[in-house]
Amino acid sequence: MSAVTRHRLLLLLPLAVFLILGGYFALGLTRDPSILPSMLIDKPAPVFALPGLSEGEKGLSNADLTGKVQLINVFASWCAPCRVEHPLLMRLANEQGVTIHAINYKDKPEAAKAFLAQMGNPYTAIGADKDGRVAIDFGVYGVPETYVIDRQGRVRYRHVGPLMPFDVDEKILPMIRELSK
Amino acid sequence: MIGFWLVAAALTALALLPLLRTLLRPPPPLEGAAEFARGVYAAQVAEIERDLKRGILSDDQARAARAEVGRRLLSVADEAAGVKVEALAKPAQRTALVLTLLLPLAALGVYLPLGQPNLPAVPFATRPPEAPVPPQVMEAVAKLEAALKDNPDDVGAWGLLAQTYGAMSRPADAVNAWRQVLRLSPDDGSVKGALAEALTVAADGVVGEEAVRLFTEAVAADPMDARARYYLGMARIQAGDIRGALDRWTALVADSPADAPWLPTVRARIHDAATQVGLDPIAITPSPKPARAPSPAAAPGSGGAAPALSPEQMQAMAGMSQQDQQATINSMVDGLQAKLKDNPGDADGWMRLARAREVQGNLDAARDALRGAVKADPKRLQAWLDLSRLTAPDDAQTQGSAEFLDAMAKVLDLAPDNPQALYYLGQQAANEGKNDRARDLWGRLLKQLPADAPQRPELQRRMDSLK
Repeated sequence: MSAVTRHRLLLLLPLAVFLILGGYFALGLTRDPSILPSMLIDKPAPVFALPGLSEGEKGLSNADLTGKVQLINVFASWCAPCRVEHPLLMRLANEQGVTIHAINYKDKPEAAKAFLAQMGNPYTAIGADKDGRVAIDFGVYGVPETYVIDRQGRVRYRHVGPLMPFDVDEKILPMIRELSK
Repeated sequence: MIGFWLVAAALTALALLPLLRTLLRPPPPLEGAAEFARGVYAAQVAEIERDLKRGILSDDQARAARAEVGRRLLSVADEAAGVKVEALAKPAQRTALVLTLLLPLAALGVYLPLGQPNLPAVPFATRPPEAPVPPQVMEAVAKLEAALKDNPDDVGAWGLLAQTYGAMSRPADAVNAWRQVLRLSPDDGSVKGALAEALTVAADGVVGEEAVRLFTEAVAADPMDARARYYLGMARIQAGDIRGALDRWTALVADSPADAPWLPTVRARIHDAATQVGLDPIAITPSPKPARAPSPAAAPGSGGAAPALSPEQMQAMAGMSQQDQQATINSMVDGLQAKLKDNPGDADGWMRLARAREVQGNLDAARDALRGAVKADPKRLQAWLDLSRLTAPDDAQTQGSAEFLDAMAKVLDLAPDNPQALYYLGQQAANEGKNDRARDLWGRLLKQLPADAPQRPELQRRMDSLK
């Protein structure tokens, strides 16, 4: 191989890099960006113990997660999509008898309380995760996020973003029924 | 659109330019590598000679080394010549031509099926254009707020402030103001509805638990509270219970008169929701109640029914279809008009005709009839009031037509305390620069207004500006 041909091949390098990257991105476009597999699927939820929204109020810890199929909902009063899914959580808790625990993510307790006073409180217990540490352990991407926890306290499903009616009807509720058998 | 294509063409040309420049440029003289190699080999030959002189190399070895260097030199020269010939012989003109034609064509080929030049822009956050709040409103709000600090139990002021906040798109403030209104009149269902609606707006349209509770109480107080019933359906949708929402909305349609202003909205919601769960919107939507028949007796300020019906006529009409009824009424009104043509001095007749025309929605004809009435009896206050009402400007800030102002002047002659006449004539005087007259008229108006009338601050301000 002479010096000149080698020189020419080097010129093709950017093109090759472009083709590789382009192919990679094209592949990525065919995937559903909302599916974010959790590291925790089928594993026990991380160990944690959070205080309640205010002094003396019951918080949330691992001990609350076992014994009953339930949802953990990560919410914040400053999060607009949380407001959108809230009526659905209210219906799940009040009309479908689903136990929902909450992690209040990086929020002011007063703001969270005002939010719940206006929008309703579907939660059996709320843990205040002021610095977001526990959320990191759960691998929370952004609020709202919802986890389905089985009787053994294992994470079985993770939903990123606000729940929509069809998420509840087609995924969450069937899953809860299945796990409760 | 044309602009877009021009820009696209310019950008394509810009993209082609460097390619063409490179392709059409005469190749640089190929000195680089070959020249360098020649120098190296010349140095090698010189070194061979030096070594020969110093006796490091024998004659034979020197000859062999020289021959080797010569061979390499030749091969380098060949290569350089080959490249040179190739590069010079084919000045990539053909490639350039093909590219110039093909690239734009290919771009067009990709763009036409894929491009969507008419797609509306999607701004990152669509926010409603902030309607500039007129300074008078800001001032009025500030005054209201100040007044409420001194007298926090003024229901009327709180209600006005709440509505104003709502109109100014300050939902959180509106919520607080409506809470005050509810504190002062805790049993008013419509206030509960208003507060719940403000809460919903403040929550970006999500009907929260508190709003649901208030709307439910509002419906309990007034089962025909359409706003509350509409939002309660909305709450079911948001909770994922589409059938529950459909039940509520279809019941609302069934209870509403056919001309209810909210029907189109409710129907649209039913359509969307029904399609989502695979129901036929037409099949599940009941028919509304018959429209509230425009009854002449209900016409504002009615002094007598439009063409009076005899009991027999009423009985006959009761058996008719709605269309026939309408046709009968129309023919009777036309008959009345014909009679008045022969007897234009019948002021009562003109008044009846005007009312009938207004009920029919023919305002031009109603105005004509009222003109007939004031001509027949210029002292008839009601005729002047109706005429001014039908000729009033759409907006209280603009000056009315000459006919309107004339009617108002007549009203003021007959009823010196009529607030509308005082207001508009004062405005006319102010516009014409007759400040004393404007102050006199507005002053008389102010004296009549209750102390907490919402119009007071604005009127006072305008009076002050006359000085």
